Amino acid sequence: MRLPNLKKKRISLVVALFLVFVIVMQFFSQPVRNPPVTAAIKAPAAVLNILQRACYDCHSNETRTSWYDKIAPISWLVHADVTTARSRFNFSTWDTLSPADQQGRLWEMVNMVLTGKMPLPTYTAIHPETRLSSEDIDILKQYVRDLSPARYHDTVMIHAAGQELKQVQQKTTGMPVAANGVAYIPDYRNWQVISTTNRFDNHSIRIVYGNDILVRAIRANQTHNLPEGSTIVKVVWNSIEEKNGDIIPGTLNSVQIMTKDNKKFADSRGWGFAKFNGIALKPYGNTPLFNTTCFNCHKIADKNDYVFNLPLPDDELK
Amino acid sequence: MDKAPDRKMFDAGGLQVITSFANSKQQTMSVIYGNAAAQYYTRSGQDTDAEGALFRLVVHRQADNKFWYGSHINGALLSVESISGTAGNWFYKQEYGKTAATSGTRIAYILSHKPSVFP
Repeated sequence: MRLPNLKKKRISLVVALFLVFVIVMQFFSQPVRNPPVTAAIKAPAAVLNILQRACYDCHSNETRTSWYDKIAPISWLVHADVTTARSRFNFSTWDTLSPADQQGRLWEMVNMVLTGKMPLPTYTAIHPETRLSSEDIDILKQYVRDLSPARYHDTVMIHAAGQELKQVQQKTTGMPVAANGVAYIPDYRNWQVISTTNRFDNHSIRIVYGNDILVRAIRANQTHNLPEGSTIVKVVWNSIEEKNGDIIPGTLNSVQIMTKDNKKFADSRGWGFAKFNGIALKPYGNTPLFNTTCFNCHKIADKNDYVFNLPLPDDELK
Repeated sequence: MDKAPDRKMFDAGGLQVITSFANSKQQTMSVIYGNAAAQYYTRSGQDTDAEGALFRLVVHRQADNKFWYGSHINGALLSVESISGTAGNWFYKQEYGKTAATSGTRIAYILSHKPSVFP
């Protein structure tokens, strides 16, 4: 079929305009730059191989780009992804983090991988070689476990816990407030315990409490989207561990809070976080920005409305 | 929309947590609750303070947390035991499940746990 001349001309004009538009875009292309590697992560070769293959393109200053990554608008998307990834953690400046932060980030990384959130599915679709095999994942799991060994019968901790017990009986708790406005809640001990946990990544043992709003929502099976005002208080102790498998609470690590205020914390799906460290309950985070760090990690539990420790559903009890 | 599955929470009957503990080899996770007298008694250690104390030990099976490799969470409820009364004259009750030990052993076991540091 022949198109009338006028219609042909119009199509040519649209194509030409589009090409001009794409060419002009190239002047605003933002190719990824690689700053120097100053403090690279040190890890066993098998681990480094995996990180370099699956993570380094975004989480390091050794980003490898293909020719099409340099063309706008793709370059803009790649640039944005790499910038965000490097801001979360960067394997090229890794050794500037404290050992505790490094350990925490590595466990977070393993859990992002285990829950299929990382490497980004859009990235592995284009770069299938970055997909992790079950052997790769086993290597990463063993690596983080080796980084976090138990210290059995830690007498320093046992003594310190005894001292803290005396101290908390003598003092009255203050009302600290985190930088994002979430305040400590002294009344939580009258709340319902929703779950208990213990962790072998950071060797801690916890009690998780929920307020009435949260508990009612759990009982009514409304856990996909917990209601406004739902609040969780988690008390975390550093654990004292014994070779026979015993894990008991030692010194107080922190009291952590999650509270839902959809207006105030719209950027984190309504959740405001707080962490009060030690028996002095010192608020963690100097600026409200810490809320984003908390939320980023809680994305792993997005299927439970970002709560890691809802009581297990009956069909998962064994 | 699909309803989420039921989730159970142990109702301690108005008691507060005294301490919690776990055993990774036995794969158990436990909480000891107590009333005000029990709370006071565990802190003072004076037998005369035990009058009217009520302790409840709740044991769950340890489960993996599918959202966090590195964490265990309480799974199925295994047993509930309580002791009440006064020092030297405790009344032991198995409220749920079975525990293979004499009541005297269980009373001593429950009382052997120190309270956790609560701010």
